[in-house]
Amino acid sequence: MRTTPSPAADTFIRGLWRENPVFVIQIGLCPTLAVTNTVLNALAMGLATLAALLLSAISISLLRGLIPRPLRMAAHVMVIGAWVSVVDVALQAINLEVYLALGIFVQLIVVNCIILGGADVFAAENRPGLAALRALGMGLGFTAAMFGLGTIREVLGYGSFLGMDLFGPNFQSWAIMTVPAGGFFVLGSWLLLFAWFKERPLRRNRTEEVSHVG
Amino acid sequence: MESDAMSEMSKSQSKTAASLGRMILALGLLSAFCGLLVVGASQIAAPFIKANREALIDAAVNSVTPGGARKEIFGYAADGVYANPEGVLFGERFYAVYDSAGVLNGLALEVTARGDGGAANIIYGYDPNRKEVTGAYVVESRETPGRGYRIGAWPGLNEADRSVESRGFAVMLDRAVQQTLPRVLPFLDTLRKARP
Repeated sequence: MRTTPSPAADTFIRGLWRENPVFVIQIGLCPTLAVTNTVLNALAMGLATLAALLLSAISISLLRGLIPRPLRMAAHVMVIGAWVSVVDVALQAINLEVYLALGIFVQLIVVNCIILGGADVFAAENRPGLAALRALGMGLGFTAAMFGLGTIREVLGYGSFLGMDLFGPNFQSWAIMTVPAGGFFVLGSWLLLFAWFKERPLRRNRTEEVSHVG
Repeated sequence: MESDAMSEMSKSQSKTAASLGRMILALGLLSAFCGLLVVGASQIAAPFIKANREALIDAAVNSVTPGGARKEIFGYAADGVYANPEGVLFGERFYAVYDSAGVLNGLALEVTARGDGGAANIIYGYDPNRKEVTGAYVVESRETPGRGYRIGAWPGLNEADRSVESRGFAVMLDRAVQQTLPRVLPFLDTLRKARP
């Protein structure tokens, strides 16, 4: 017997899987395509987005009583901008090389649809705990997607994983994987795989129906 | 009748003023909160960022001038070069690298080159004895990630045809070398004598 998940668990799983920002809703694709050339860059970008998303969601949810409705969007951008600045300097302090490799995309987290949408639609209407769960699910879903793309692109593009050489000196790298165009190919392949998984139960039902009719 | 309308209008005006006051108060409080957050984080992170930048430049200098034991920092003056410049911008100083016997065996020059996405800070190495560029390291660039990562690990001009991005980088580096090397080469004797 299938049990229904609690509202909190459902909120968390929705962002992580059923409404995965990259593979299902397909938002925040700009950094997804640009900075997934290596696993380290992809993970750093995913975690930076997760931190900004989580902190913004909690702040906006806590401040929701203070912010008048006509000011909501401006206020949300201000709060998100402040947290993105904090994440920006934290990343510079933690690992400057990764920060420099990510370039402008760290600052651009402020206009990432995942954060703007999450803040406006969910955090401003819900309690901090629930807003945090939703942000955590979305952030982890985004990080997992970035990791998936980064792994394939680094393995094929550089013949390594997290900088560790996998195939030796004779490996012929796929140069296309190291540039954003390679990101399109890999993202397309992932979306194809997701669509195939999603369609599987439907196909099975159709086959069963046909066999019953037969 | 007229007095009712007047009273309605005055009520609506005071409501608008109250709502405007609430908006200004909310924006003021939010601005203070966000400002404190950003300033606090910047203050806490500043020493770590400074140390990371110094370590990155150190690693860049070591990678483009192999075999160096000690280095001296120089700045450009109108009529020569001077040791230990302070408070100068990136691109306005270079490093003279000496081997363990105190012989000048390399120069590492900071240069700000123009990339596709804006300015790129590069350190390249030059061997004054063999008169050749020994390597280059991208310290900071605003190029699309992927390109920056690749050229950061690029070992030397000889492999410039390895990929498209390396070719683009070779052009950028060539311009940078032409801009900066003539500022240093006339003072090689001064640098040789300035051994640590």
